[in-house]
Amino acid sequence: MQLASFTFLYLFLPVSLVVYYLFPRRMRYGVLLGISFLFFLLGDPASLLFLSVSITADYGLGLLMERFEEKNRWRRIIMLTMVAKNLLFFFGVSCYCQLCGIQTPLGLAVCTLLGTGYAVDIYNGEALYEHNWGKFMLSHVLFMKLPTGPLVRYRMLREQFSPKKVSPAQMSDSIPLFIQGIAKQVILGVPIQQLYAILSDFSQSEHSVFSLWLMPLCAAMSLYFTLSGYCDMARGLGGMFGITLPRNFYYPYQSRSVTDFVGRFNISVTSYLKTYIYHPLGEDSGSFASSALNIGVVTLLWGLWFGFRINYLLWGLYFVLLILLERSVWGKILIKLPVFLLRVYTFSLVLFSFVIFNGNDVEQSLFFFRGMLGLGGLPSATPSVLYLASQYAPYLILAILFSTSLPHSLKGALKQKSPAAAAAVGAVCYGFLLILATGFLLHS
Amino acid sequence: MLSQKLLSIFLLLLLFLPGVLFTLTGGWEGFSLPDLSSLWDGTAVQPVENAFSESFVGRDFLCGATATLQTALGRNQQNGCFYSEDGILQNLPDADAQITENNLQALQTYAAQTPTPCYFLLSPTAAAIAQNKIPSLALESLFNQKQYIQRCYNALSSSFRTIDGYNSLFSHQSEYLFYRTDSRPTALGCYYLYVAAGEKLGYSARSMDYFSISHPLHDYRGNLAELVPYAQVEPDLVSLFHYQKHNRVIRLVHDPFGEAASSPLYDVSLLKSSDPLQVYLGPDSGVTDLLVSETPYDGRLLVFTDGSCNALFPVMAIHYQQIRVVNLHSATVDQLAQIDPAQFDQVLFAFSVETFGYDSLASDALSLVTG
Repeated sequence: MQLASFTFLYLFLPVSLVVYYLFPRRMRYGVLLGISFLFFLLGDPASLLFLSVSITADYGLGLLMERFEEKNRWRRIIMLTMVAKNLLFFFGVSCYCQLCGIQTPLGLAVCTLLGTGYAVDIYNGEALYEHNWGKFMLSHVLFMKLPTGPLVRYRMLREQFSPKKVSPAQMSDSIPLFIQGIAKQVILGVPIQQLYAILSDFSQSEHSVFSLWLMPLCAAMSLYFTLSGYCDMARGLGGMFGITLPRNFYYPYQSRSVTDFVGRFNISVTSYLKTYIYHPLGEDSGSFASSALNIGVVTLLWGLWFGFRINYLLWGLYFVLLILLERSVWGKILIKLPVFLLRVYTFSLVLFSFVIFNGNDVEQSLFFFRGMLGLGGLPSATPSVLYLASQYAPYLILAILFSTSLPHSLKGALKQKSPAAAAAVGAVCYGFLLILATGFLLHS
Repeated sequence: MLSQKLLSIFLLLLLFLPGVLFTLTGGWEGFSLPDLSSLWDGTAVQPVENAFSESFVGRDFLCGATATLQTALGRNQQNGCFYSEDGILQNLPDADAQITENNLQALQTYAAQTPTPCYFLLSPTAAAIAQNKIPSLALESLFNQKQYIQRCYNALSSSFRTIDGYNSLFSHQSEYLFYRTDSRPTALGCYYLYVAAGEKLGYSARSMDYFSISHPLHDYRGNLAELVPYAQVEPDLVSLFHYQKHNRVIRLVHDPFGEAASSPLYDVSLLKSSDPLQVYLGPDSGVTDLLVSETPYDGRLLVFTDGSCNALFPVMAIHYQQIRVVNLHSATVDQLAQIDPAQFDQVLFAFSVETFGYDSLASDALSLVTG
């Protein structure tokens, strides 16, 4: 079952909300666990089975670790066992699925990396040992974050399972956020993904300079609207059940530098990598070489988050290089440039990065690069790509507009001026968005 | 605070309403608990998803509104079809070279084994003829059907006489040659194919004055309407050509090797069936004979077809004593085995590009006949 499906949207969610709020507050985390299990069961029961075993093992190992004193070497061994088990599980299953061309199990990354973080946190004394299996399990299998995250630290979730009331303000913020997520994914993400798929199917002789520029733009927009759409859905759903989840994207395409972009794109992954890798490695407090290495490791892993392909590795490397160049070569010049130019500079480099991201191999990416720069002997545009562009232009224009903070700023300004008017406009706009997203789902 | 509460309530209502209505209108009837195998492979929810989306409250309105919005935003292609108020045109991809080769080979083998003269009509689809209805930027990327037909004709030139349906249709491209909602040619389109065929088959095609034309169905929605269900396209007319002279009587005999059920030409009760275009040759029985009485002609024509231009044969029948139409989509092995081309004066292969370039229908069926 997908979050953007009729069954989830109009059956699973309403029933879950009713059941959740029918129970007294102290029992709600148990209800939420039941709902999450059901979501898992209806989507990918095999994963539920395997991950439950893995999560229970982490729970048991955590309790075992608690038995040893702080400086006992067995604590370290247990922690390393937990980390190794989770990482092996994550990398092993991901690679196996990629090699076999099958879908990665639901929640694999989210559950295993959360387990890894838990092991490190309890070892370092940054989180309490969990004695409640249900709450431990819930923090891993919380249904709204299973499809694509956000990646959350264990202790941040655990703190939220205590009985509390969901305020009307939280509810009125959460439902629109959820609707916004569906709309992002269904109305903009899917059509742009369609255009991208058509362009990807072009043979080399069918490509033109224009189609090669259009491809990374589509890839950038579809990736953003799909992932941030799912994340908004997860955050909105979390809010409806009284759980606050962090945002994963903060208008990345209006970043003012590549370093800024990495901090705004897939934020929860960046934050996770910083917490568990970058900080323990010593951040950038050492020599330039060690700082470069630290940044390199984190950014490479940030790229590999999307899968184990040579192009994703190169994608990460590309950002490593740019971040290091910004730090040591042209960072001081960038500060002096007007904001608009900084955004153009960043977006251009990000767009180029998607040429690497899109390619199936290095050779294909090089062909794309050459073609984009007019070096491949390709025509500037072909009628077929112009036709495609004319078909999808409104979606691309809307995507560019909604990838900026402009709509949010307008909403904020209206809310400040007249909260009642903002609520009324919000009701109309979000109601319309929900109906429109439903129409797109039905029509597809 | 109140406005926040109201906003929440309003949006929650929107989320709750469809599920409540689905339940109240008996949407769950017929559903049972999912079995273990469907749960294990993750397909347990699919039947609910399908049923819910099918009976979603205001489904037609929502789909129609979305389609209108998408059209307003510039989209005029869906499921491989161009659409506009003027109609839906299927955008065929390039024909499959191997399938085409196999089909051509099967035809050549057949022609080599039969002493009866063979004819070949490969009719284009609407996208090749009604080019004025296709966005100009999309024209260049269209599959070139004219070139494809010519290539096929060249390959068969030694053993077949080929019929130029393309130019006959193209010269009347502004007329109602193809249905707006179906990929098949209209009765008028088939009339122009009949005119083109006459030049090669050796009959003198009658002008339109010889026919009275009736339009018994005004709201036909064909197979393309299913691909683009919410396009704002006017429904189609189904027309029947009746030969007015000499009181010729044409009867249909379905499955002549089996039950041999007989019926008059143009059984209009079939216009109410799921495929109203059955009106031309009756319910598909694999092999159908058109038997003509009160006719001075004694020619017999054997037709192998894909069923794409059935309106052609009742018009053509006025020049023959018998036309045997073999629909290769539905003819059985037994029926194919009983067909003897030696009993006929001419053999016509009539296909649409839509079939010949993508479906091994001809090669599969003819291999059964030729061994």
